[in-house]
Amino acid sequence: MKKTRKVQSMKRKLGVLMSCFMVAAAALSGCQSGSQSGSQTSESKAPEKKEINLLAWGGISDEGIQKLEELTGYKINYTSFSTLEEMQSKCMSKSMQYDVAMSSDYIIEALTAQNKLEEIDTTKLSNYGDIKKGYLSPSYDPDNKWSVPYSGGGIGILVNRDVIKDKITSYADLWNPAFSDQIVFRDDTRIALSIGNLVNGNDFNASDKDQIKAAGEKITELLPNIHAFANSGYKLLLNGEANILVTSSADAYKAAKELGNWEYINPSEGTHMWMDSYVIPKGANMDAAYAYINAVISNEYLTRKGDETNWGYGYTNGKVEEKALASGISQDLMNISYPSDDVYAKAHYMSNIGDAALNYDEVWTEVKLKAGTKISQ
Amino acid sequence: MNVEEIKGNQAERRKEKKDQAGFWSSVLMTIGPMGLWTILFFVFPFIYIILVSFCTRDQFGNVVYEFSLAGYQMLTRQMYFTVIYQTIIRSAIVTFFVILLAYPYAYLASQANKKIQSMMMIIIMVPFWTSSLLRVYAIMNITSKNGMINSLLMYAGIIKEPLQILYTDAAVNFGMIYCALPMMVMPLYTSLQKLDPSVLEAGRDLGANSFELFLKVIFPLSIPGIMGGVVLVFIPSMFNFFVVDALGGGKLIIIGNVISNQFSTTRNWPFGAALSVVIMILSTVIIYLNNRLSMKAER
Amino acid sequence: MKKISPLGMMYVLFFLTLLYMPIIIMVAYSFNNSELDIGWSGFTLDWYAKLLEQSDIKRAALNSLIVSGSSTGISILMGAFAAIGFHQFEFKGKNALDSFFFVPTIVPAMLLGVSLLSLYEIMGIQLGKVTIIIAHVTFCAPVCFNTIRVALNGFDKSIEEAAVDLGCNHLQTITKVLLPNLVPAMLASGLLAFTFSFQDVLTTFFVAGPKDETISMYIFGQMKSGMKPTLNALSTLIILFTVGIGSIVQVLENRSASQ
Repeated sequence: MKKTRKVQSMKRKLGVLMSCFMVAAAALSGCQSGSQSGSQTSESKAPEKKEINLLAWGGISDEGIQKLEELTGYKINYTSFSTLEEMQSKCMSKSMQYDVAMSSDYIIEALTAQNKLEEIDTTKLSNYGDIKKGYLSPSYDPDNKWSVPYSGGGIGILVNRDVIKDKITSYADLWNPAFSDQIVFRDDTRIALSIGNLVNGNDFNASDKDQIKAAGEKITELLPNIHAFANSGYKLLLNGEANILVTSSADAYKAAKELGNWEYINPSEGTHMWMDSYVIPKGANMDAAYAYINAVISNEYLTRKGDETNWGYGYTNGKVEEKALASGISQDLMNISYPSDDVYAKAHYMSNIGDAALNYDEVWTEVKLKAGTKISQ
Repeated sequence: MNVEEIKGNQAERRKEKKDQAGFWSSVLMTIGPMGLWTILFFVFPFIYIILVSFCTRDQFGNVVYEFSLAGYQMLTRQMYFTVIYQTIIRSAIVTFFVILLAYPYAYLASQANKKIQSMMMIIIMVPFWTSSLLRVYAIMNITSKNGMINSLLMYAGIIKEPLQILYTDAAVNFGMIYCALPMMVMPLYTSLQKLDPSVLEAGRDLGANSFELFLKVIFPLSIPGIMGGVVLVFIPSMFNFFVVDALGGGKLIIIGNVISNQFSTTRNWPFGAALSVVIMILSTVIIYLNNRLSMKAER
Repeated sequence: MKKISPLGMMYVLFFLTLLYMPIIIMVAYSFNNSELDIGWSGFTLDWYAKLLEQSDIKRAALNSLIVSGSSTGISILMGAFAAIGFHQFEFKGKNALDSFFFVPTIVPAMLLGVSLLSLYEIMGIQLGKVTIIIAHVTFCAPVCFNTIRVALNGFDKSIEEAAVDLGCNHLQTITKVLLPNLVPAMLASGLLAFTFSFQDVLTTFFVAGPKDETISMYIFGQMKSGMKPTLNALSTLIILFTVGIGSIVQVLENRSASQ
């Protein structure tokens, strides 16, 4: 008798749990605006009724998507990725057709070489003329046929001048023993080892086995100065964990905005320029793609938040730069995301190095192993 | 033999055949669905991984379907052996502490008032329905130089300079233990629940004290639960590279990092697949041993 | 029923504090009037307001519920049946099959995602919720299978035999005798399976269609571009929701028990 009551109460629990789930699901779907029907059948290859499939870095806010939908007149299905290789995998997968995608330098190189992109007719983009000349014709797309630059920046050094008094003008200066445990370094195989290449006097995109090995050894020498590897280290500077940041200009900007006494250095060896661009995967809905790209590079979209716009992101639209100046941010902050032309002249782009990437990975694993033994002691 | 006996034998054999058929159809009905599913949706990917591990890649990182031992050859570098070895040690340490921490809670839950048992289980699962990334970030927050722990210690005057808690070996281990706890509590609880209180009473009547009771009665009976939890903790912890990256400041790696790199930045799928095959063989051995141990404990 | 001793209570409290400390921090910061989670800048409900305006989060939440709910349901049933089969029958190769069933859960998530994607490409299946559910069941069912197996250890076979004697066929024995007694284990394993499914990012990423972003995918995507306090608010809401359900279930349970 006891058992049946227990069994009954258990069954009741199951029942209640299931009904709660169903109520919640119903409530949420009731709150749904738009045409999302939660159907089980998958989406067809061509987007139905003015839809566009977007593949981009994570972090585009919902409000941003809504503004873009407004400007383009299309419904946007936004899929995010967190690494460029994920982007490549998804872009090349036959199970999904994306209409427009965000990408960067060496991946764009790889995609064009494998014939996975549609050519872009820039005359169809009314806002194209606003893009500053300095961003155009990069080494991976000299004729501007395959990509539309969206934002760019460099990998520089941000220093908290309240704590660090020594002079820094180059990547090589980071090896100063006075900086022990002070540096937050970018956690990226290619970027870190390529900086090692520069400091060793070699090409940024070196593919020679011995040169790569030497880069690894150089970075290993830096390990005592490295407090942590991180891709977004601005918080570590702000909460005092470290005082030197080797990171992207966008990340550095976030920290510099809040710090009192700081300096941002574009290294004398030449900074690494990165560029986020939009590409059109093969087979895309071209009208939708053009509409989207034109909207996303427009001044209207980029400065929709007025003074709250993130000026640190280095948008390629020249009008955005003008607005940034007008908003009253200091020239120093402007120089982080909009550096002067001589910085561009000396900059290095990351290019596709084919099989040499394997060597970079191996060397990087070794560096990490050595780093591990140091902190286990 | 007379006719009746022959007919009897035939009838028996027919019945046996019918029983056999009945047996197999019953087996199919129960195990069939899962078996079919696993074959369809897992065996293929499994074979695919093994296939890729014997392939090579082109200059863009795409898989080239030609036979090659390049993936396995890379494995033979001493460095990767070191990483695998370190990963196993770390996972073993983490698993040990998880068992230590989870056991009392699972035991208490199994002995508690029936009313609150399910509540005790739900309450430990709930944190894990929030993203593990967010929780790890919260842990980073607490353990940083200006974080809660250091602030409290400094405020209480116990230390003068903030301690370096974050980005240490211990922090990483703690993070991994933290993420794995409910995976051990669940199976342990389920197994301890089956404990017949009369067995414990009998033990006490025979003069055993609590400690002996635990060692000789409770613990052995809970071994299947422990083993169930070990599989859910030990093996996934070898792939938990996110925690290692975040709490180790990117200065520690486990084999999970290396494998994940092969599928992302480096685009060396054959090598990543080869590493995965090795780890999966290792894991299968562990599961197999685990099952043997459980079966022994059953007897 | 036994009451927990004071020492036991202390341990439970210690354990729960350990588990919930990061959660409490997260909840606290969801009310913090600052983009950065360093130091306190005043109380605000802004992040919650912003959260409720965002329709992509609502869609992600719905997707997560549908996907994880379905995956859990299917996993529990499949795993329970398989566990029962293992409990009742002996046959050659049983041990090997047992280990084999568990392998999907230990395969690295990214690998499972990538390889299932290639399976879908070969079979010509377009990505959508179904493809995600299939992937989730593949690594969740073994969890249910394992947990229910553990629960079936030492199960009294005489009850089953009694049922057969009373005229039940095989299916009836399962549904009327075994399953009802396995409900606690099924619930426990279901909870675990739901967690595995809800949390998963790496596998889901590869097999999801463009409209099928789950909550975990959403958070992961937002994380990489810098922590946003809205994520803290989201997590707090998720916790409230699940604790709420748990409490309702508990209250109903208590009420039915006292009747």
